[in-house]
Amino acid sequence: MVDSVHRELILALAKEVLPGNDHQPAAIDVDISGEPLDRVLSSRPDLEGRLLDILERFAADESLTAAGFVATLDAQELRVLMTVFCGAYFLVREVRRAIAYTGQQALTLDRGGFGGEELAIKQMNLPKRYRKPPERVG
Amino acid sequence: MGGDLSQTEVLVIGAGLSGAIACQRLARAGIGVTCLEQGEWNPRESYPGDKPDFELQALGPWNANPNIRRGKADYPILDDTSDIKPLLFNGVGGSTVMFSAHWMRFLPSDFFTYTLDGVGTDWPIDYHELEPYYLQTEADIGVSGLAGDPAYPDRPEYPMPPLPIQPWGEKVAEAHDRLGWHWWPGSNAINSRLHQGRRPCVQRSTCRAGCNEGAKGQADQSIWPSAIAAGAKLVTGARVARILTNPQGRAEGALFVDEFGVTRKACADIVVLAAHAIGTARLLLKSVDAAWPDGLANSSGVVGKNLMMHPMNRMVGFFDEPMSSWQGHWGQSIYSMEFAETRAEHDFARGAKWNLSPTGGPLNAALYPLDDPQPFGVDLHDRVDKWLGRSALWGMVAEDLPDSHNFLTLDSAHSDVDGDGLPRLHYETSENSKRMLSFMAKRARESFGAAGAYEVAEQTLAAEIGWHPLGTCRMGNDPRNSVVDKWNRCHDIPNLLIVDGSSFVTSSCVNPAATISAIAARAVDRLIHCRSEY
Repeated sequence: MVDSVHRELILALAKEVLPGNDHQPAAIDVDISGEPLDRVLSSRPDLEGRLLDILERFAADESLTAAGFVATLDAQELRVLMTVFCGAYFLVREVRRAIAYTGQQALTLDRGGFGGEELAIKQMNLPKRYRKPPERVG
Repeated sequence: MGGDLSQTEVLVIGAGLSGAIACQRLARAGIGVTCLEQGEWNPRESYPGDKPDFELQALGPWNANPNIRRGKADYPILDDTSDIKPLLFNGVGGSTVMFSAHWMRFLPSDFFTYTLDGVGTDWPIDYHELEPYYLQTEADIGVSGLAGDPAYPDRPEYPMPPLPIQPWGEKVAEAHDRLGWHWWPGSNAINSRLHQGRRPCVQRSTCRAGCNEGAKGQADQSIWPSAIAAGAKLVTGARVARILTNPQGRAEGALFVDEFGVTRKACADIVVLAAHAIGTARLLLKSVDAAWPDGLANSSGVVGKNLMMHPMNRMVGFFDEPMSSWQGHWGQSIYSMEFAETRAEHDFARGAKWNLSPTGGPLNAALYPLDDPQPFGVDLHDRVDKWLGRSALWGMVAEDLPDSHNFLTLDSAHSDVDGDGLPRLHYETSENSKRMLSFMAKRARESFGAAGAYEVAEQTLAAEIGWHPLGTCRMGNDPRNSVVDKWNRCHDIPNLLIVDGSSFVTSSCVNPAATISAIAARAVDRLIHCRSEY
């Protein structure tokens, strides 16, 4: 179970993993360790155990900075960490606004055509390009 | 809970694409048919595509890799000895629930790779024998596309016009026009119009985790309703443990474990295997007894052999202009067969099919496994900024040639719930495929460059994308080196058919669903019309 200590560790790591830039808030500014994290673990409870293992290792080694610790993660651990952190971050409405992501929306298909009709006609008028196999005997 | 199922004329194992088509046609012909499916129905409402956490779920409970998904109906597949990890779905509709719906016919040359190019093996059937079945199944599934592609023989119009090729498709189409290269609007098993009561696509781009709209031609939504209406019986939660045979050497049904864990028997005059190239071979290898010590229908020793996996590279092109490239059908916007056929100047045989797709949302951008290391910090923001809404993806699918060193076996060191070995994939990407994909990557850079991409990023040999296991029970005229004949009947057991992708002789470079459908339809039509011979 993720507790308040784990949430503090997440914020410490988030400073390195998801800092802000000129148009995006930092992960700590939108507090991914709160509701966003809970939403991620609700969607992906399979990640919780592996996340806690990583956080507990981070907590156990005070000699490492957050950046240094992230560098020690193997590919699978980094994948877990990034899935949780980015998953939480990109669920935040403020972040979505900042990156102009409107979500996977249901749209109405444009019935005016598929696009590229003139170019398709040019292709259509080219000689056939497939190889004709031999006639099968028997 | 009950005893054995009542005797049926035909027992179909697997409710994926080929099993659905078999059941639909048999039921329409008035033949009694029962299908056993280890998975369940997944209602449209259960798909995550219309939920904000779609991308998270698509990486977990809706992941196409059964070893990651670990659903109730999934069985582990040992893949640490395979360069490519298998993707599939167990449930009504099978892998079509998650497929990207690219709907491509084989090329005529695909059936004659040995005669034309001295590689692989010729099929005992050809394009023209499958053509009527391609047409029929396109109508049943619901395929949108444009006739007139010069890469193929002439064909009638598709059941529906093509979906929009999208801004990125137009850019690349213009580029290929300038380069003198082939391109064509994507043909997809996705509705562009209302079709047989199913809605048109809403371009949400979440096809890979089931279509919430019913617009994708996944077999649970396109085929099964009409199969059941015609009288087919479908038993879900029914995990088949063995194919049963009688002393006369004929199949007589299957032993299965029902949803309550009770072992039961289903008897039939004819048994049709439609359990995927992994599931079907696995089941035959599990069905050993004194008469079949090496696996059922395996006198040739090639059950499980010649596994083909369609190695692929992927290339992302980054553009300046915003294109909302997280939207659009997740199927193919356009495809190119420019390098699909063997050319004398290449250092590889056969070729690759290219398909251009949208690129997903921010989580996909952040975590996509490019050759570059996983970014974090400011590098991650840079990646997402470049990617989100302003990119397109070429997938380059290499024709994989059959090789007896690539195979599936049962690993007795790891037991399944029946105490049999788990399926283990032994697969190594061939040098021919590596040379081919290296060439394709260079050409794809040219393609994106000509289309105006300011940068491209590559994923070489996409190990996690094994959508197309094929060939493990291949078709042939000679019982010494093939498992089924040209009508998909087992050489060894005349009333046992295999109608899924395991019967493929070679893999083509195109997506196999259209050909799996056509082969299943053809095999079952023969059964219907020549019933007494079985």
